[in-house]
Amino acid sequence: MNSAAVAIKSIDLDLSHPNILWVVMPFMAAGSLQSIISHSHPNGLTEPCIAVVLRDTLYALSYLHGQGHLHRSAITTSSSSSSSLKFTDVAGTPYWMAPEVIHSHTGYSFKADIWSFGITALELAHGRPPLLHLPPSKSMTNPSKRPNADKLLKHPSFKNRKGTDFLVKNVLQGLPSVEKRYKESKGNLHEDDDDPSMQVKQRRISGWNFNQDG
Amino acid sequence: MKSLFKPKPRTPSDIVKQTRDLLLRLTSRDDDNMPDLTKNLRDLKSILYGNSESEPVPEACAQLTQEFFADNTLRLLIQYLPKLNLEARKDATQIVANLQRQQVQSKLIASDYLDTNLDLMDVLVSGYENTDMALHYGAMLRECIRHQIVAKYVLDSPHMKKFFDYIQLPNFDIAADAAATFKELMTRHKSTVADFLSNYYEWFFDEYNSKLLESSNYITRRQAVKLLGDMLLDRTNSAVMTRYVSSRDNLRILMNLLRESSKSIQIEAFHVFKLFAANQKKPADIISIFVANRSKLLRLLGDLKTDKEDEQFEADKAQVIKEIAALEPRDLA
Repeated sequence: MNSAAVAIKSIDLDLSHPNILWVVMPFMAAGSLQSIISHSHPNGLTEPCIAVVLRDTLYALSYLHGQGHLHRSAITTSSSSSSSLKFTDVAGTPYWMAPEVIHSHTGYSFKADIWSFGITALELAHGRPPLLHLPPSKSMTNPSKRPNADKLLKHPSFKNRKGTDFLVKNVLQGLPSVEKRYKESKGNLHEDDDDPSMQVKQRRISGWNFNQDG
Repeated sequence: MKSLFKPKPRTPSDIVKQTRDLLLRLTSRDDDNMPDLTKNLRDLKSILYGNSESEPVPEACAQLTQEFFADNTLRLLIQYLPKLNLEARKDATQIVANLQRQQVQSKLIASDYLDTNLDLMDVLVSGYENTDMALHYGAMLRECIRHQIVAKYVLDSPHMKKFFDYIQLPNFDIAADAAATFKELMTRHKSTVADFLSNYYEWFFDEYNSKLLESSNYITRRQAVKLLGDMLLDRTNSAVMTRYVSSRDNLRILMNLLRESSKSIQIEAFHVFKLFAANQKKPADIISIFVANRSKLLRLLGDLKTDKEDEQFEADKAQVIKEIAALEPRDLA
């Protein structure tokens, strides 16, 4: 057993599995891009940084689609140590989910991943998902009009772009570690816990009295 | 073999016809048909779902659907599913599921076909008793019961009692599939469900309480109390709800669920329990239980909190606490 740090996540899949799943995965020290953006870039990333993230996402989608896999809601995460982006997913997240997946009328195709890619691009630019104030299913669009990943990679935005090191330098440098960011948000939560009514430990209720007392 | 020399491409209608012929030949032990049958099913699925190069073409889907239901192709596919290899079974399942939603001239012709072939639902529901077929037949069934006429047939059938056992099968995949089907049956067609619950109130809730809400299986209890809340809170089931919350036995069960160590179950149980408290025509024995357990109830409810702030939950809780605190023994008179 080597001493490399790993992330161990307990997943309560809300009744879809009888046991808690423990997923061991490479430890992405910088955490998700979403948490990085909300912490340090609330108004979104600069265009060159966005292009790096999106290009690497497209390479991943192109590879997966070539393998015949669909990835129903695609988003990226990052690691500061290895200077690489890893491709993860947000299962069941309606804001990244293509409308034809939500409605599941005729099944879905690789175009569903392109929808999620588009939402991610907008979130990187604005700092939050678009159309947050609208029910997700109302933002319908026609899957047949979306290009595929390979076609998108030919777009000028992704040519002659800087490498991932550029992203590390401009987004991750100086960023507190994911543990510290978590403790900061945890600390905020803890202040709310100073409410005396929430300090009361819950005492187990003993048996009920169901006897008829007339 | 004459059809193999037809010039390509074959129309969707041709593929359906050939598939039907190949299915019929499965009655004889001619395994040489399997590769052709597998390919045909894959082609039909591609027409309905599209693939990485193209989207489904509405006209082709309509033609396929029309041909499919013009004869007994669906019956053959369901009956002979056990004879297919695994990939073909999966494709067949997706085809049948998709066909339930295909419109031909704005009409769901699958519903018309099933209306005159409801015995096929007996095959699909009984699939839960066959480990190999359960997940395929279950997926087909869940799509078929989207048609009201089919849901009504299943609800009125003896199969309904078996669902209380299917939901707790030791094979978790099959149990979960059965639970998903059961939930669909009990929530999709609201007026049909209201009639069902009124007509079969006694045995249904006896089974629901004893086999599901009081099950020794945590998953079963949690799913059951959640679904119970969904059913009783639906406006169309208000008559059934009033009857349910007038029962002392039902209150006992819900109060025991409120004491569970699982907060998830406690929260779901609260959504049902609040209906007992809100009942403005509480029977005397219900009031008696509330009064006898008032201090414990108020303490438990005071400590009950959702993980995320939920204004509606807090408002409901405050209302319930107020209602219970205000009950007077004289209300028993």
